[in-house]
Parts: sequence; structure tokens; C-alpha cells
Amino acid sequence: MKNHVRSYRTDADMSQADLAAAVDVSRQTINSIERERYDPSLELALKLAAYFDCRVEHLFALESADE
Amino acid sequence: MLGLTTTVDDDPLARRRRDRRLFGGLVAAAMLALLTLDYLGRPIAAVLAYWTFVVGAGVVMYRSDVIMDERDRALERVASHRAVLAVGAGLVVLGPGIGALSEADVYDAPALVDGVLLGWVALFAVWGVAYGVTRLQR
Repeated sequence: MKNHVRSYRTDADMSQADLAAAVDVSRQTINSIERERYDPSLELALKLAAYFDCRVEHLFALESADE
Repeated sequence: MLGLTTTVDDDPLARRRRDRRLFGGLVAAAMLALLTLDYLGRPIAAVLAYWTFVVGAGVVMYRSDVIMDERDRALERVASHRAVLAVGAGLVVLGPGIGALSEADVYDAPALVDGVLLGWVALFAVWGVAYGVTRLQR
């Protein structure tokens, strides 16, 4: 699964630690998501989308959907 | 931007670091106390100190809502799955093989190997029960 978490975070001028604290996970989890090594749960994906005030499908997409 | 904000006084990352260090420290203290007191010839005190620290670590783990997040739990799931696969493969290969080699007078494995194989069988028995219970719950 591809995601745009890093670009949303940098646009918001936040550190990984800031975002991690905001959605109640570890900084390593945010780092793994941004590097697309870990796909978050539906709950965390919805939390991130709510935090960035965007639709979850703008933040996350199946790789095949981008092709 | 929506307000899932945190305060400095209630920083979950700081709490996570603190709880993880506390948990790790208690586990390390348990091992250190066990080995040191046993070495000093005080086995009962060693076990008592060990259990005291282990119970403390358990309390930290139980009470902390931040010590593990969903990625930690996902890592545990994957690691457990891989461990069960590795043990299963070992059991499938070694279980009948060791017995056959012994029957054919080719190789007699030490008793320790039998103990290990029995332990693996017991592990799968526990896994089967845990799987059954989990399946009933979902």
C-alpha cells in the first residue's frame, strides 16, 4: 500500500514525533508507515486522515490504484 | 486541522519511553538478582527477588496503555507466526527422523533431543488450545 503521510506531515511542518504523539503511536511506527514498511490498522489510518483533515483514500492507496 | 493534541505534561511518547525503560529495567534486575543471589549461595532469596521484580514488570506491562502500540503488536504476531513455523518444520523433520535413525541403529540422539521434541509438541498443544479459544471468540 502506498501513502502520502510524509508529504502531509511535512506540509504541516511537523516532526515524526509530533505526529506520533498526536495519534498515540511511537515515532518508529510513523517512520515505518512513511517508509511503506508497515501498513497501519484501519483505526490508525482513520485517525491520521482525521488529523490531517483529509479523506483516508487521499492518504492511503492500493499500489494498483495508483498505476 | 483537527485537534488530536497532547500536552507536555501528558506526552505519550515520554510515557512510552519511561514505561519501556521501567519494564526493561525490572526484567534485567530480575535476572541480575536471580544470578547474583544464586551465585552467593542464597537460592531462596534469589527466587523471591526474581519473582518480585518479575511481578513488578508484569504490573508495568498490565497498567501501561502506551508501552506497546499497534506496530509492536503486529511485530509480535509476525514473529510468533515465524517461530511456530520454524518449530513446526523442525518437529516434522526431526520427529520421525530421530526415531527412525534410532530404530535402525544408525544414531541414538541424546536424551536432551527427546526433551526438546517433547517441548515442541507441548508448544503445539498450547497453540492449538489458544487457536481454538481465539476462534470461538471471533
